[in-house]
Amino acid sequence: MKNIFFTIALLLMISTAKAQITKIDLQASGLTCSMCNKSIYKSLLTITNIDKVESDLNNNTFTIYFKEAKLVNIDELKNKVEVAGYKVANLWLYTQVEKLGVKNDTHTEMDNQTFHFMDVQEQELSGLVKLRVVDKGFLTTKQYKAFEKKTTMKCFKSGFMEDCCTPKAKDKKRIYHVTL
Amino acid sequence: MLKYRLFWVLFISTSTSAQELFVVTEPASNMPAKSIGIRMANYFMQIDSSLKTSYHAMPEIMIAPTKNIMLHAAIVSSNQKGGLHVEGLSLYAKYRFLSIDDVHKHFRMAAFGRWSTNNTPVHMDEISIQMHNSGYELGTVATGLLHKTAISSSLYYQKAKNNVQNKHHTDFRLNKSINYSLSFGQLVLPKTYTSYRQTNFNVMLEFIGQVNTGNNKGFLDVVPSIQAIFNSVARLDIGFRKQLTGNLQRDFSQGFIVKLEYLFFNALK
Repeated sequence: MKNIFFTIALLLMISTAKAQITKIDLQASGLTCSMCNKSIYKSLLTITNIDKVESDLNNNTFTIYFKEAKLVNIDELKNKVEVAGYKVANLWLYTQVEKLGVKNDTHTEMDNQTFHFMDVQEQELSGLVKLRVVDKGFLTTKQYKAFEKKTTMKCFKSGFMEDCCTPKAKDKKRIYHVTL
Repeated sequence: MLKYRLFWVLFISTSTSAQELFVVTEPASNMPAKSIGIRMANYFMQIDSSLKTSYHAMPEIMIAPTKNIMLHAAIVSSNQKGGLHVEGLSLYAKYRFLSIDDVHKHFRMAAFGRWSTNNTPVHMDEISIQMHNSGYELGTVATGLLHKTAISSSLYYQKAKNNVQNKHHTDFRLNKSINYSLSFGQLVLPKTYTSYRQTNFNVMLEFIGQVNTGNNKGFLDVVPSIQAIFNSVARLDIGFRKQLTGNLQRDFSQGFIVKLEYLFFNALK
């Protein structure tokens, strides 16, 4: 009987970590023209895991769909915008979650990636959740500085596992800092 | 009163829209990394002494090996000897060293240099390393974009050397100049984007100045122009350059500029 309860509890724990990135909205900064917008569009399309990119030319926002959620590389998106000559002003991840427990300054694994929740209240999330990446290079400088004031954690500055992280870091794994 | 203020808010918000792809001057911004651009610049300038029109054609290739570096190579040709003859080669490099971006705005700065060789006889005090003189130029450019209005300003130094087979000035007192430019660009259409295929129209106004450090004489030209961008990759510019004021001896002080340009994205692997 004890074993059954243990198995059920284990299954519940696994289900809480179940999540899948369905799409990403990326707003670029530093441009207003359609030629500039197209250069970002073309640059994003060179990522092999991208299935489709929809572009809103008026807001310079790109909605990106992927072939394989587990292979999404968020840093690569930023790099492709910068290669085109511009910067990322906002990046929102849309992820489908089931009973995902989130708490301030805790790590959550989703689609083989580690996310560090910031500026959130302890809660359980279900359904389609919109997460905003707040790491350096994913916000305007002004917005990043505002987030920088909210934490003293070293990992926020570096974007990698540091001594401040719990559980303690075994290696310098990339961590994306996100907020709701 | 409120209606009046609302009118101005609407007027300002719909009229502040433009770009920085200027007809005469290069902005501090670069083409996207790994892209290649081709340009055909045509100059139909009036020869001041004869009132005849001279034609200069400058085919140019532009390469962006990285996001911060631009390299151009152009061939200068003209009909001054009858028929179209190659007169020179011009190489240009630009390095963007500052980029402050925000949503719908940016401020960028770049340093640039040009080296040219030219084989035409020199018989004017105006120095143009780009088209008429062998020599080099070095300078800096700053470009700001606020919503759709762009403003760009450059300052550069030109030093002419002997043109191939032709002396510039025997005493070389007049072979150096300080140059400056101030450019304004504004996107006129479309008011709202719907697709990459929409044709964009920009209007531009550029001021180009030169002071020869040998005799302190100079000129100030104005270049109003219109620009159409097709399919977000091809560009057609039509401008008219005219001297506003000046006392520097020059061969051409007014004429038309027609430029065609095409951009190939991700052309470099």
